[in-house]
Amino acid sequence: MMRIEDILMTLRMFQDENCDVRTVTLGVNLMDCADPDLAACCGKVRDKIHRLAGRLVTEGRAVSDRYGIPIVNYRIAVTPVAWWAAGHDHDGLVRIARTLDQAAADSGVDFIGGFSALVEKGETEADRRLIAALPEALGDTLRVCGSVNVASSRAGINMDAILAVSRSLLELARRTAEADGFGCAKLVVFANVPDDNPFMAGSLHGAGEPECVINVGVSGPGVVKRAVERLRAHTAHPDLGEIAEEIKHTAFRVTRIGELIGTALAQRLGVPFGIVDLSLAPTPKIGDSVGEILQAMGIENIGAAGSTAALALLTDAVKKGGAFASSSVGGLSGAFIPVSEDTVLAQAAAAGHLAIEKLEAMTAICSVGLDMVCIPGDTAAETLAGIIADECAIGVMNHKTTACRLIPVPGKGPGEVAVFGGLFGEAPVMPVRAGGEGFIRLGGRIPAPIHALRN
Amino acid sequence: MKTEAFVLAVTARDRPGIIAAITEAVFALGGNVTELSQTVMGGYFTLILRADLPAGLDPARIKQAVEQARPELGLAVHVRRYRPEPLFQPAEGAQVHFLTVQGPDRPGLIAAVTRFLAGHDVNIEDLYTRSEAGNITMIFQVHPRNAAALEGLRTGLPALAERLGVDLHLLHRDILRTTSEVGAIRRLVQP
Repeated sequence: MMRIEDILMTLRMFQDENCDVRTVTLGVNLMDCADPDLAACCGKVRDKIHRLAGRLVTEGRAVSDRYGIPIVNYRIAVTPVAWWAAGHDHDGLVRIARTLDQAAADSGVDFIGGFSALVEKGETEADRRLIAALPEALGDTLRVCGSVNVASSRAGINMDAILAVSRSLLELARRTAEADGFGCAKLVVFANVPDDNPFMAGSLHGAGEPECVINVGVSGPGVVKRAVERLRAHTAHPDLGEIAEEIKHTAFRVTRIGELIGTALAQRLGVPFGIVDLSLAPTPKIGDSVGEILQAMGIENIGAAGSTAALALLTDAVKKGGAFASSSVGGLSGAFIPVSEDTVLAQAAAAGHLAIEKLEAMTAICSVGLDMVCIPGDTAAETLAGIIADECAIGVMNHKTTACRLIPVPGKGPGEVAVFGGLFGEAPVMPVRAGGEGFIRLGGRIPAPIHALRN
Repeated sequence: MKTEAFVLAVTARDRPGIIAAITEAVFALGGNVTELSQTVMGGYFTLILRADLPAGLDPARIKQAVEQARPELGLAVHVRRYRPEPLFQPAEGAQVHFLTVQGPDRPGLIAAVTRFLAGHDVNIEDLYTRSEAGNITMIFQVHPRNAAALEGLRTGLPALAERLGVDLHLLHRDILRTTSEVGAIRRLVQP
């Protein structure tokens, strides 16, 4: 018999602490679907997704039943559309988006990612068309998610692309104004985009990936929070080193579950298992919050002094536990701080404890960036571009992924609340600081940092 | 020398020297221990072992030899001839699970759960129970005979939990192995 305490601890993870596999994402290469004939192209896309993803949900449920582990979401990530849909015009790209949307629906998944372009060093004509088509492609479909990589540590920051994406973002917000600009929740602007991230909205099937692959995103903020609480309740004066150790061990357990589920599902589908992304991904549910973990560590008001250090401890401990658990750790892997999707973070923003500037500092040491942050609907494109550029600078200079999922909420200003519902939650509109627009208008590309010259 | 296998079960009040006394007695009979499991609970020692002994030995003689080896230990020994053919043979692919039971303790609880398991053709391979402050925790390592037995177990658990007023959870063994052991998952389990 195994150690009783191990058994009970694992049991608690599922019974009381919201541990689950947050997403199983099937990556599909669509390069062979390129065709100058739009109808033929769409037909190939439909057929290939049906062929490779048709059994994803059925087999996923079988694995979930076998192990008694909930799999919350099933998703598909495809090769960036700009790579294989070159030559098609605006309407053609929108039709491709609709085809992806329908293919996702037919496969029983809630989101399909990859309406994307990688433009960190410059844009092709296909990239420009895709960025221009984002408002219609994402605004008029239910399941299609997109992303644009505008910066990298090797290439620098493409400021022209950032401004173009910002304009599309504002148009996307206007197009989905009735839903508080929800369309923008499906668009991520990246620096150093990963090729294997299973989490939406920024998931894509990147270069160097196999024909088809299963990537898994585990979660477990509730598990980590309870582990910290138990340690503090049962240990006299635990210090931060002990807390980090506890989080590390907990991350090990969570990651192992992800790898088990991913390996089993990949085997059933007859495709390779790719990576397990061990990001702590919160939901608006109480007990499933990254903010609550920080509170359990003594940061009462998220955004207060010490928040960045606490998040750094958390992110690093999660990575260490995950790295020992699995040799297949990838994606973003760290802690997500999506404001609207994390009730405690949203409350901190509403109370004025958490400002965009503090969030920006926190993104320098966690796994993503300004995520699900609501800003005033009348924010200028240049101001929006400045926020994105700042976030990119953090990623580029620190050789890490950063991203922006900003939602300019039409008709709403600071203090008003945007409501998205479900896992997307709700959040107050946060004020932004204008005044740097002249810098943005200079355009061009901020050169790669000196440490890009590594060869 | 021709040998045959015997199974010995021994209980006693726990103290140092019990296993030494038992195994010395087996050795003195010309035997060799091939498998042994031992535990202590509430100050009481219990052991089960399998040993190859000279063929034709009377079990009563083995019992006497072990019990009288160190009379002051007060060993109670039960001996029977080992029969290798299992009486319970799960189907290939039948998965080992852990069943946990947690709730207020009361007489008859273990009997009710184990009768339920027996009724669904589920074998208990290991069992741990602990009762503290009026609450009981039971952890069963169970092996259903086949997929139908597992399904019956799964579907019957909610009603059993309600009837007994306890929380019941079924966990696949692979989940516990992957979260508790450090080896590579592909070596630990067969997904």
